Amino acid sequence: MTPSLALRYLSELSTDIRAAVLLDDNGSLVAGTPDDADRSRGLARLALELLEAADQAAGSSEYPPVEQIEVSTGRGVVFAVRQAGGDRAGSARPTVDIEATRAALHDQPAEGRAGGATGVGCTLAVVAGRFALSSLMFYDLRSVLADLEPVSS
Amino acid sequence: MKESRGLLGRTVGVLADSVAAAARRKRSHEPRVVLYDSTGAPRLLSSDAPGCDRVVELAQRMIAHVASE
Repeated sequence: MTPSLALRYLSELSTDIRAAVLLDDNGSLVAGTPDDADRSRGLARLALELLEAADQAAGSSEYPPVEQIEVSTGRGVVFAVRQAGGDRAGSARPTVDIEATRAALHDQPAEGRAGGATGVGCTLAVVAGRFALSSLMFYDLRSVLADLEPVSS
Repeated sequence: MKESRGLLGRTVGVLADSVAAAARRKRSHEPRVVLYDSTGAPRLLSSDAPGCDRVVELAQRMIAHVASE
């Protein structure tokens, strides 16, 4: 499944999803819904910062790396799933160069810019309505990540 | 046999239920952060944990970003 198709499929799976972004293992935006590149870039940037903040909040040595995040507020819920890549599995917490990613996001088009992106090492972040069920949402996100095909640049 | 309550007892009961329901509603609106490791084990991040405020703030910005579309 291509990244764009995967996100459309995800949106059909859950009507609670308001927006979704898919990032490759470098933290670069691969695809986003709705199809607005600027909006998706902004959401991707915030998702990266969220992942980094979650890593810091989780602590460095006491707990294993964070792979899934759920943040619910009165206005909605944010879910993020980060698939451990081949070289990441069992290693220390993955880190993302936020500044480099920001620069890349501003210079590159949103769609299809990441060569070799697959479900492995990718991150999928969605914003959903406040009544979204976390277990179902995480199941859908992981299913979509597992079905992702490599993207040709 | 169930003991019947008087008017005062019923009123107090209704008030207590209302207060408890309001407290439950308030709790449901409070931000909640759950982190999962690779095994899927959840970990509820305490609201006073270091960095929790930052995580909630970023999530709220993401939600606002989407809502502004």
